[in-house]
Amino acid sequence: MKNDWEPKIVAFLCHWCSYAGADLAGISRIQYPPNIRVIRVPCSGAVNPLYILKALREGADGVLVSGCHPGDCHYLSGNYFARRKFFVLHQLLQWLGIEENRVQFSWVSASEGQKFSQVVEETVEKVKKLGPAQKLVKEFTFHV
Amino acid sequence: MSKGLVTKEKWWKWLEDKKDRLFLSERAQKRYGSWFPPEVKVVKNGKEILLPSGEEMYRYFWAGEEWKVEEGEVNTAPLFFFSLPCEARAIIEITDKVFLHEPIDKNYRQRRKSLSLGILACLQPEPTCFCSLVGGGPFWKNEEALFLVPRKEDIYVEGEGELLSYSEEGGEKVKQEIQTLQKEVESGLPSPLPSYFSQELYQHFEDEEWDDISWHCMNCGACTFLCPTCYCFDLSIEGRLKGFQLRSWDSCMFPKFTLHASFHNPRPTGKERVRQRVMHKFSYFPEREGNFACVGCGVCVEKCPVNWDIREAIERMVEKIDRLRA
Amino acid sequence: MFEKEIRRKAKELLEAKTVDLVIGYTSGSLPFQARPILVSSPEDVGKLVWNHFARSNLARYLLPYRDSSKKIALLAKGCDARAVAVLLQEEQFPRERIHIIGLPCPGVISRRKLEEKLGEIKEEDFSWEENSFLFQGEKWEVRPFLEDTCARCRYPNPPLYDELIGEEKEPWRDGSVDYLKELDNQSREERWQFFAAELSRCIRCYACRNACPLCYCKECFAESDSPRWVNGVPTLSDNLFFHLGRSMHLAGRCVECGACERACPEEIKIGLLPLKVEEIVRENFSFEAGLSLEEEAPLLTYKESDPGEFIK
Ligand code: SF4
Ligand code: SF4
Ligand code: SF4
Ligand code: SF4
Ligand code: SF4
Repeated sequence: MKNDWEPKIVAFLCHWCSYAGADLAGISRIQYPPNIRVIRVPCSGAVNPLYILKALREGADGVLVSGCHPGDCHYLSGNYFARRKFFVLHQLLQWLGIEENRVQFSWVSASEGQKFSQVVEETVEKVKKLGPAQKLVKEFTFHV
Repeated sequence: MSKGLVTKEKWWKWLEDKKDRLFLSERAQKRYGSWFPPEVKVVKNGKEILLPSGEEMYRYFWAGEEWKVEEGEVNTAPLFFFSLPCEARAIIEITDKVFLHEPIDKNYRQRRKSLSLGILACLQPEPTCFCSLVGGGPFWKNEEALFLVPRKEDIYVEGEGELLSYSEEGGEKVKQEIQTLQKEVESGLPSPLPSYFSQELYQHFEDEEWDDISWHCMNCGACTFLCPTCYCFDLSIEGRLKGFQLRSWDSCMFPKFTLHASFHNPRPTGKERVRQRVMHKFSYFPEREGNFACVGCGVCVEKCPVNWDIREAIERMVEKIDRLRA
Repeated sequence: MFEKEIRRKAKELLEAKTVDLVIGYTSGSLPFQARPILVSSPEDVGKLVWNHFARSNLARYLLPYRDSSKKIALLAKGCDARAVAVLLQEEQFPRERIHIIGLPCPGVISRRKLEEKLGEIKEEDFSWEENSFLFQGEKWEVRPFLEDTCARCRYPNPPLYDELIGEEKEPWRDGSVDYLKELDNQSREERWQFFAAELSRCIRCYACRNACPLCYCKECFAESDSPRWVNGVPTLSDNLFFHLGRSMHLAGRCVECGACERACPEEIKIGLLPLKVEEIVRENFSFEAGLSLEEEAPLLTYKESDPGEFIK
């Protein structure tokens, strides 16, 4: 691994909380690592597990999914449903032998600009420790 | 063409410089594995070499103002593929006819040009085998391929080329032995389908038997993907501003195989798809090319998760056709 | 093994026009196989068989009749009946058009295991009982020959039926054979090596999916063009994508029948993934699919107390 390797991390942020939190971090000029590529989604409950797998397939070194805190969902309970779904996915990926921190989850509210920056820092740090993703990345070596 | 016996030592000597270019079919390996070095690459059938399940047709990229296209390079190192007669026949009498007749498939042709075939006689037909029903046989041979009958201490060989120069004249006795062996093996196998079958089968396209015949098939891709003669493929693009065109296997068993852009699907249910599989192999292809597109290897019968047996479909239609002719 | 009763029942139902069709098993063209069959006339009930080789989950054969008006009798092992229950709950079939003939399941036997332990086998060398069999006069217990998927079965008895033929059975499961547990005891990297080796053999024929009674989507994500999740080449990465995606779609719905695994022509241990997902669901959300028609599917509901420590 080259020393200057920087992980690419796809972040699915819910529109109402985490995306707004990221926005706040930006407006407040709170620094966070530039490794994340944000995809705004209406709700963490709208994040299909396939999106996560797809991000890894297309070469993301890590995935972050972030939504409103439990009880604060703009759609009342989207994040509760999300929590169950991601819990299963998280456990399954680990059992399969995928590194625990390839896919990470957080709750960040619209007022938590500071927390958002911390979450991103932590996420990047953990993915850096893992090194570049290899396990679910699409292969390009076909017969020619 | 010449014939002769090659001793074990000479056989191994001949193989010596070919070790890393040797392919052996899985089914041939089960029977003749000990005649090949551990380096031999075991493949399911010839498709794995000639029609890989994924291949790049060309690469492309957006060069700022225009699209650039680069064609894929095909590996042309000479290779040897040893297989059972049915599997060799699948190449010579089916996929070659598809990909080497106009319009010629460049990639296939290049791979095929560098592939030499060796046919290992089939001495233990399996309960699923029916090569003789469809024009082949356990001793089927072809002038372009080596034909080999491994024996206890030597191999009986027919063909051309270097290996034959290692062989010794076997004499009348060996000839007799091989012939007896052939008779013995062939005796347990079915007799060929009537010559009118492929033409008449098509007359029964609309028959209601197909409902019943197809009922328990799940329309998966197991039979077609594992069949040595099924050659259908799909083309797709992988990438965006930079990527390649990908050829991958497709199967007439899948609903999307015939889905039109309008969302009309001429083969909407399993019945049409199963019928297509049978018709293509036993009517359309033979009407066009002169032989069935099934070599009777029985792999599809053995591997089908629900024991859908193509022999039963054929038997049923033969019976019906004969009943109507009588 | 209750074959006579099954035939008698099928005949009775067809003659009385209680049902139009019976879906069951018949003997196939190869030994040690029982294949699905549709019986529509009372004269054909003699074709029905019932033995240790009923590998398929017959519930998958119901769905083509969803939009018809046919009334169907389905022979159902424990797991087939559980699959029917999920289909009913998901409103994929009306209860009044299905007549479930429940069959306590004697366990599906693996032909490969028979061959491994007994050498060359011929059908005529066997005589079968519920829990044991005679092979060339010698008595053997059924248990060590069960398919891996069946050795861990907890519900051989149909939880839902219109009538039951045979006697309720004790589950086979005694913990001695559990291929999930074997993997649990390995390290993460060992498991990865195992799955990487298994799934690189996958040819993406989709037999597993098509055999699954609960994979009934008209268009599966694996074959969707827009969006396109995977390509058609069976590379390890896309095989994993397909099987992970499929397992997630089965979360809280999979009835642990193992039909997917038994259908695989490459003998890949593919049931492990959905079965693991069911274990996760069972242990954390106390839910098992297909046991009741009332309880809500676990991913369609939530509790405030659900595990959440994995979220920052
Ligand atoms: S015949 Fe068998 S292998 Fe072929 S599609 Fe039907 S179920 Fe699958
Ligand atoms: S259709 Fe079946 S028997 Fe015929 S060539 Fe293909 S796999 Fe072999
Ligand atoms: S049945 Fe087996 S080979 Fe086919 S897609 Fe499923 S796991 Fe892969
Ligand atoms: S995923 Fe496999 S075990 Fe689960 S219901 Fe489907 S076929 Fe049965
Ligand atoms: S894998 Fe998912 S999308 Fe595909 S058929 Fe099964 S449930 Fe449907």
